[in-house]
This record gives sequence, C-alpha cells and structure tokens, in this order.
Amino acid sequence: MVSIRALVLIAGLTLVLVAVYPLVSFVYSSRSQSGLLGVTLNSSAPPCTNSSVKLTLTYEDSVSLFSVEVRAQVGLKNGSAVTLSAQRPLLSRGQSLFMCIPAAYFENASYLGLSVSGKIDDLYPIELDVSANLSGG
Amino acid sequence: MNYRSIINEVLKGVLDGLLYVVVYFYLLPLLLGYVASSLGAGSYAGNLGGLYAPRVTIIYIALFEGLSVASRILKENALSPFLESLESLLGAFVVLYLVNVYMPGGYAEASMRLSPAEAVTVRIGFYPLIMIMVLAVYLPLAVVPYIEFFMKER
Repeated sequence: MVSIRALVLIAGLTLVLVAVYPLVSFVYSSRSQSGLLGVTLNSSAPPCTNSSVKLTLTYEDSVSLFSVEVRAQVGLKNGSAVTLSAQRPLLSRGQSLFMCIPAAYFENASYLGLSVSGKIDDLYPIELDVSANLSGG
Repeated sequence: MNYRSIINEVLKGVLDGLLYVVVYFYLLPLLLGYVASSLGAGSYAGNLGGLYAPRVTIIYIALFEGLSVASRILKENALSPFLESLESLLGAFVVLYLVNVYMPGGYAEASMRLSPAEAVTVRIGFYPLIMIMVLAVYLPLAVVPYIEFFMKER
C-alpha cells in the first residue's frame, strides 16, 4: 500500500517539475542559439522620422516573455539623461518591438543603456541590462 | 516499550537523521551550486564546509538527529507528528538558507564585460520556484505526519 507521505511527495515533486520546465527550456533555448534578443539600429526607417533612429528588438527565445518593458537610456555629455520606454504584454519568438530615438541624442551621447525586463512564462522575473560607455573607459 | 526496542528505534532515528543530513548538507548544496554555476551566476562551491560556520553545522546535525530519534522513540505519542513536522520545516529552512547563499534574494545574477566600455547583466528571479517547492513539498510534508497519526489513532 502506498503511504500518504509518498503520494504527497510525488504530487509535490510533479508540481515542482511542471514549474521548473519553462525555466529550463528558456535557459536551454537561449544557450543553444545566438542569443535572447536581436538588436538592430536603423536610421530613418519607417515609421520613425528622418531625424530619428529606429531601435528594434527581436525576441529569439522559444519560451514567451510576459509583461515586457524596454527602457533605452541615453546619457548626454552635459550630464543629463533621456529615457525612452516601450511595453508589450507578451513577446513570443520572432516578435519584435521598436522605439524611435531622436538622432540628436546620439550625437551628444556619452552613455547608452538598454534595459529589458519581463516574466519568463509569466512566472520567473528576468532583467537584462546592456550598457555602453561612449566616452571611453 | 522494552530496552531492546528503544535501542532499535534510536538506531532507526539516527539513520533517519543521517539521511536528512546527507540530503540537506551534501546533495542540495551540490545541486544548487551546480545550477547556479551552470547559469554563470557565481562559482561552483567545491568546499561545502565553507558554506556553514562549524557551530551552525553542529547545531543543524544535532537538531536533525535529535528530532529523528525523538520522533522514533515517541512514535505512539501525540508529540511524534509534531517532531516529524518540525523536521520538514527545518529542511525548508535549510533550503531557504542555501538559496540565499547561492542566489541572494532569490535572484541569480550573471555579469559579463564585453569590452572595457560595454557590460551585460542578466538577473533571473528563482523565488517563484522556491515558493512552489515550499508550498508543494515542504508544507504538505509538515502536515502529513498529523494526518497519518490521526488516521492510525482512529
């Protein structure tokens, strides 16, 4: 006869395995291909105007990302910073989001930062920060 | 209960306690260390002794052994499910402590410098998994001894 303890343990471990599956497949998928996100910068690409740069982020992982928020921060040489943000309730593989950044910001930029946050399969929070110092060092 | 059966139960209790010690002091740190290092979040802990202060190790071992032996000796007593329940909760406490050692705040963080001017940081929150583990495994295992005891009594 199977004891109650064994049944509870099997049920609990099954739940844990179900919960861990999206995380494992997310990590596996992001490691087995070129990366998590594809980032491209195009000048004067529609629907952005001639005086702005289109920043496009393409999601590459097989596990969907929920409540996605992207923030692009441009640090200017005068010490101030400009932050632009975009949100999406869901990003699946191949889907992308874009934002138009005025080209004038890039001409005076000393720092560029890109921050992406969301929830892997609406469960595990993830934050990705990429930063580049344009003034050297 | 005669002396012979008491010694028998004490030995079984010591073995139960040893099982808990092996699982919580060796297998879990090994597993969590492996997961954290394979994600690039921190180095793999080769030296397990370094994770705990010696007095903490002694206290944990004494608690696991003491609770296991006591619950075995008092298995006919109403205290037995309470002691078994405490063991599960102590196990949950050890897991939470270990997670906090490897992934402070339930987050695993990996940073990489692409060049002197470029850096990438990834942070993944593992705390939902730990919550599910505690709610689906440890808490039910803390309640089951009471159910088993009362079913046996009926």
